[in-house]
Amino acid sequence: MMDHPGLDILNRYADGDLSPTERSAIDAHAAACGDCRSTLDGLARLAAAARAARADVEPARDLWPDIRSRLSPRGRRSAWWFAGANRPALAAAALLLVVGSSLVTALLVRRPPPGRPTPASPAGVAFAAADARYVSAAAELSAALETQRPTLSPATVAVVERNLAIVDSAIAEARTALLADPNNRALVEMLAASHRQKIDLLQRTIHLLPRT
Amino acid sequence: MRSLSFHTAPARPAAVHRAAAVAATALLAGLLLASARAGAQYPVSGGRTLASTGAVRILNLYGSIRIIGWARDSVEVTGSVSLGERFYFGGSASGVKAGVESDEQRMERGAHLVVRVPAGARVAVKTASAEVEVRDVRGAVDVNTVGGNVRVSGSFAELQVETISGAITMEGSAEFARLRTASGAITTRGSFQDATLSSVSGRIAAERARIAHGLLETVAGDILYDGSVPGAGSLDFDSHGGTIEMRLPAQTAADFDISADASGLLFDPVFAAALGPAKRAGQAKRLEASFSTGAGAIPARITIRSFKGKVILRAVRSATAK
Repeated sequence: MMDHPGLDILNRYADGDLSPTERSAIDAHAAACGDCRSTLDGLARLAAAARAARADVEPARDLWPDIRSRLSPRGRRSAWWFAGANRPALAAAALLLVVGSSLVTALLVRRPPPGRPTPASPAGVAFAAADARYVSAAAELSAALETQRPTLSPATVAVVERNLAIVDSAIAEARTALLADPNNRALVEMLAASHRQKIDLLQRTIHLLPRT
Repeated sequence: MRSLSFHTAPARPAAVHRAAAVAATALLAGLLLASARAGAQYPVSGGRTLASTGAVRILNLYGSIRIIGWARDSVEVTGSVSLGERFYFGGSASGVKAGVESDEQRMERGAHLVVRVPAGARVAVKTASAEVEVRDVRGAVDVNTVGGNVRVSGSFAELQVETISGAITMEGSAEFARLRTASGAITTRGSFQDATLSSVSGRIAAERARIAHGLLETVAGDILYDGSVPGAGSLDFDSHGGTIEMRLPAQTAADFDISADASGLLFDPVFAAALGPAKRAGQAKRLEASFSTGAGAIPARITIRSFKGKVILRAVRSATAK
């Protein structure tokens, strides 16, 4: 039997990102491994909750003050004279602000009573929807990066990929922890922080000059 | 025994001269090519009038850039540029642009520029691997580099530095600062009104720190905060796997919120006593705790979130208190 696959692989399995060959290998392993099967079941429930969640989760209050406060002074100003704006990056940045706000807001206003952590709780579902939006934003930026990859130096690509792998691993671990404790606000904020780091790194890489 | 003799016919003088000329030309061409490949450079310089708060934009992918603020309303550029690269410098009284262009990647060469700017100028720099040094600029500074190390010192109104793998070192103060890397280390020595120090795998060290409102975050890199927090200030620390260490005066008045792996805590007795019985929530091995330290002042708010890294709180006692 193969070694236990890493959490990042199981997350990619749950997200449907693996090739058929890779999926078959995981299926074969999970058929004989109760731990991995249990983890996959949990991730599948999370993915299902994300798909079932309303795409238009309405926060209970106006988000604009939060967004504005993040734009200034906390937010990164756009490079004011070099590269032109990258549309996918800007779109993802805008999405990020909305998702980031709605993520925490949803947890705050829908947090169920303590002691009742269930993956299917409203907070869990709201979180899953926000998590799915982060994944979507990151996927859009990753696609933009793929088109730019041939223009970047191999050394730069290696550093970026190594750090993206670090972030992906952190995201996978935080997600798994949230499966066991879906109402833990600190875990949600840590997961959101890792998502922000990933999107920030992708954006900065997309803005790099060719041949650098 | 058979004797051997060698006989060489004398060369004609004209042929010798032609051969010598060809050889000399080839040698000169070779030397020029070799010197170009070895990074031979030519000097550049220029100066322009610029408003005291004007904009300065500098592009130099490889080599080095030193930017020095001075008490004049003008910009002066001096330095050296590799053969095959083109230096440009132009603009108006409200903004100037200087840089080096090349048709191909020339990491082994690079230009070395020293740029003097009005101290209140807004300066933006972009490099690939060029080292960047900025000092004595009071205006806004924005540095963007891929792998070049960045060293800044002075008192900045606004400071933004982004690198992928370069290290960032800052000494002095800034009203507003955003320092970001992917794998590079971030080291600061000074005070900030509003600061974000962010890295994925690089280490963050805020030494002799006094940050009124700050966010220090990594995914895997360690974080050190050694300094003080002003009353009513707010500090947020986020790391997934890196160690978060704070060294604060023992009498610090602060409200702490900590979420961390309970097995990775190391608190000075001052903070351990304030923590009291830890509240454990959710996963049994996690600590979710709120506690307060100090008295008689408006407390700062300190939030620490760590997924699996160590959290270390050390109390620094003043010499008179010992």
